[in-house]
Amino acid sequence: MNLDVPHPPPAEFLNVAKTFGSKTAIADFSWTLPSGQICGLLGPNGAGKTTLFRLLMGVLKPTCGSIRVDGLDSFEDRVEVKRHVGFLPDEPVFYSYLSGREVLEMSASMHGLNGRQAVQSILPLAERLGLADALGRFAEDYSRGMKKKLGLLLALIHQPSLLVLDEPTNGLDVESTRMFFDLMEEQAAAGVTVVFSTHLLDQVERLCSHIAIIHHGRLGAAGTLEDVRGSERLEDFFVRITSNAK
Amino acid sequence: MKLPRVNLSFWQAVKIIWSFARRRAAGRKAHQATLLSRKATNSKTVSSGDPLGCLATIGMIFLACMLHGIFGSLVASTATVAFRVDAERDGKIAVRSSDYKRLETEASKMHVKDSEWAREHNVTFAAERAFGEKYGFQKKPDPEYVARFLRQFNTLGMAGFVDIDAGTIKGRNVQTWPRIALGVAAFGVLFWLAMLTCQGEGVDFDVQRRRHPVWEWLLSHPVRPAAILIAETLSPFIANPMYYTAPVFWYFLLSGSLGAGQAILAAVVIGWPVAIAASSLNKSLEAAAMLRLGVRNRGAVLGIMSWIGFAGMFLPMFLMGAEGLKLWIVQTGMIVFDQVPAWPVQALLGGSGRDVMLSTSAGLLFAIGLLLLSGVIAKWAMARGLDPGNATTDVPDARGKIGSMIDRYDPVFWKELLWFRRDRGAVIQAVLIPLTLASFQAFNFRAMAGNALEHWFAFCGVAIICGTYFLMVLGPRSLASEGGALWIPMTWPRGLEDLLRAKARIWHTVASVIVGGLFAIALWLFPAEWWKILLVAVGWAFFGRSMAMRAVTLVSPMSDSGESRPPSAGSRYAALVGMFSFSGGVLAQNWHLAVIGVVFSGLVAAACWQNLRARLPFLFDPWSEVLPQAPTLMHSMFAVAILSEVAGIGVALGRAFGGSSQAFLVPLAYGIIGGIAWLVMRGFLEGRGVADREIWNWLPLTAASKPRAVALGVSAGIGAGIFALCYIFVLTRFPTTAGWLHAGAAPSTAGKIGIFVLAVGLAPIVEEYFFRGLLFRALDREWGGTRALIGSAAYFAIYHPPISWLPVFVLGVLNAWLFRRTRMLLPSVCAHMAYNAVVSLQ
Repeated sequence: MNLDVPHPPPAEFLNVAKTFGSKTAIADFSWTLPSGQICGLLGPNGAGKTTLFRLLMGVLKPTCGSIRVDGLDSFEDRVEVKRHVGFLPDEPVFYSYLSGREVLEMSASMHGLNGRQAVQSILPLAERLGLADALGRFAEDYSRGMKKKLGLLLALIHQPSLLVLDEPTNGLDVESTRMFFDLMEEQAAAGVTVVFSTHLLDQVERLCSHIAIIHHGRLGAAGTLEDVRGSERLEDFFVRITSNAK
Repeated sequence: MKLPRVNLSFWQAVKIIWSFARRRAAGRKAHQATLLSRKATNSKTVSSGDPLGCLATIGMIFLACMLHGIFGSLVASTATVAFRVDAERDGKIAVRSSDYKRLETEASKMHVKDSEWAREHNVTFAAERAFGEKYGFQKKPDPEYVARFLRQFNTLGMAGFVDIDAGTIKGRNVQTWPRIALGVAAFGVLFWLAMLTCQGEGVDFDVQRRRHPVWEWLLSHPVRPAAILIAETLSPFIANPMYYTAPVFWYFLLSGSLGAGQAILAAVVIGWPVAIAASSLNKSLEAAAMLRLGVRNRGAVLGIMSWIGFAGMFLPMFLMGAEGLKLWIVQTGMIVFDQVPAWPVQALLGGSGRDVMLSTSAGLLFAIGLLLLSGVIAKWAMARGLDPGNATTDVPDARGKIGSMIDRYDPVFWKELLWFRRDRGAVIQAVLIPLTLASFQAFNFRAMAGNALEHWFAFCGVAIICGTYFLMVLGPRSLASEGGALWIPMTWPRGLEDLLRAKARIWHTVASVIVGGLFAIALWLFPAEWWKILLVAVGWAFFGRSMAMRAVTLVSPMSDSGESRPPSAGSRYAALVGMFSFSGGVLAQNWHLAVIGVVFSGLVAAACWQNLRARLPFLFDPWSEVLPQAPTLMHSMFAVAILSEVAGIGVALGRAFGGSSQAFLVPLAYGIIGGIAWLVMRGFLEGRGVADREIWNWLPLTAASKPRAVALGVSAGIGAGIFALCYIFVLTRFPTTAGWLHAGAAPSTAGKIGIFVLAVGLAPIVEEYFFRGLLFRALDREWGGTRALIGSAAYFAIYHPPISWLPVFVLGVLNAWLFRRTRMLLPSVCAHMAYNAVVSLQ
């Protein structure tokens, strides 16, 4: 391995803009995620967080600029990008006629893995999340928290290098939230870059080394948590940024 | 500031709930229209201020009245048919009114009874007509039947016959009705009731819905629970015109026995209470499905209810005027109709005294009975409270039966199979609804369908049309069954494409089960034609697959806000083009058309997929959509079709009006048209950024030397030409095929020169440009390998007369291979010229 060649960042937004007809959803957004860190994407409701994640997953094409995941273009190389990215949506919905185990097996197979082996390998994690016993049941019958956990297993089953979590702890109880945090920290420690969106600032202060604040589709601030908030409380800084931004 | 607040009265609460029931129904109608892909609805609601909304409501009321009228008349007329069936059961022969009167006149004479006399006096004609009435007009009269008819006439006179129109129920005492007619009336009423009960607030095919009853939420408001209960159970009656127009049905049913004036009174007194009871029954059944069934059965029950409501509404239209079908229904159901107790139906129809009081009392009792039934069902449904009671049992391992496909086969196809196996709603969504819509189309083809039992090819042709239409209904709905879980495929590397391929496979499998079943019936009906039926089945295997692939390219995803974006009109027409060519070929026993249909459909499927693949990345991002890279397969096929049609017309005109100069004019016409086609295509491609030299040379070029490539082409063409000569030689050995070869008049010397110039000088350049330069290149991008060689050659062959398909196909494979190998069009042109020269010399 040639150590002189710098490894591209896990994810990089380069002057990204996205318009839907005449409506501008994202404008001139630039942010580089550092490797193996937990990064928080903050913003009020409707700021453009989910659109950014869709752009990152290659579901949408940037109108201007580009997004690079491990050096790959998120849209042009979208097939390859999906091998690198694990994604958990805000409200995961599952096929009503498949059990949790079958959903995991199918998804692993679609990533080119051996379904059974992949499920076996993720079983310890399922046990830790308290989901192992429920994997034989229809995923549709799961509670909201269980669905989130299954979604997280689905995002991790192909061992991605970038984990994208949309409001991961939304609707979770205290214990499950803590478990999610622990897992995110472990993944980061193992070299996986984690980016998650939230509007809960205490979570960000506890977990993130880097943050970006988005408001009306524009970047309000980005950098390490300390650099961004300076001497202010994060909440005060966030309110100031989001009320000033046009 | 505190907002002013009033305490709602009982009826105020009911009124509010009803007004929202109407809005729900309007919204559902819009949603259903989107689901059925009839139109793209950008606005999901019908606003109350919309002036067209009022007209639409009037239209709906009119339609509902019409449907009820048809239903009522149909029940009455089917009961009339039952009179005839009952008489036939007693050994009588049914004849038309005119024949019956004639026989009566003749029977009074009764002096000569031999067959000669019978023929003279048209008794035989009456017999033949009666035979036709009973066994369908397609069959020739059976001499045995005619003999039996004459025997009956001579021995029993008019006592042996029944007038098929004389049994009308109008004014006839219901006490004298045969049991079977009463049974028919009873079943007719029950069928109408089932249709009405399943209507609900509006027919809804969205069987994926997992609605929780809104009652829990409604009950949280400060109004009396009884108001909510009444409002909810009556909301279908309020929202759906099919309920409040129900008296129309009763009028048409009862006017025969009660007379028009009394029937109006009875219709109103019976119609509305029964409709209210049906509305209540609908809500009870829906609540029972919601609260007592698991999530995978719930959708199926609601789907079946919707289906009965929808199909039941239109079924009477099919039966209107279809006397043969009514006869078949009465004869088949005779055993059941006979078991129906007579007195309730007699009471409902007014009894022997045509008593309106008796009729309305019976009707009201019927409505009360239904209301009690709905109460019992509702009580049972809510015995466990508003807890939907989800199943918590483990799912049985599917591997044992379906095999370990997930590991070594197609996991998405496996998922689709599990959908069919576990979710009862799958059958509704993927079989029942498309079949219902296909059967509406069958109504348009009813003349053909009526002929299907007579000939094996008609039967198979109708089966193929049914399968084709089934696929075209199902394909565009391919993503509907994914529902909210569509995000999962979006995270897979090639998720949407793999998913749609699996959908095409599963639709083809389901369609083949249906069409295969019909072919099996064809084998049973026409055993002597077994090999032909099997050949058609093989054709279906290819054709059905390509139709399924074409159909899924019309998929329209739903956005989060429920808007759908159907594909462009061009894509829709492209996917539909030639969809009836295979069935048309089979129906007309035009086998070369059938083969053309199969080949053409395969290529169209590839072309549609090429365009879909360009569209897929933008399925949820239409703002960024870009056109696929030119020349696409669709461009090429379109260009070939235009060239072929225009050149065909040009050559035909040259032949028709060329007179003595046609040897010169025909090649000239072809050359001019070919040149114009090339110029138009060149202009189009340059507009898309593709220079003409890129068509003649397939970039990136190889280092192959041009002279060697040309030499290779010429020798390959001569080889193919020699093969064609051998093929012609073999054909001349058999009288039939030799006759085909020499079918046309031998051309003159000048004509031969003209054909030579056309075949060697012009056609190779034009055809190679279009078939190899455009079509094969685009197909190679889609299929690649041997498949692309064979596909493009087959497509090239079907543009030639069937007798020359084999050698032309060989030439097509060879030229495509030359083009791919040398990446120049010139060697293929030379090969084509050499081939045509060798064949022309013959």
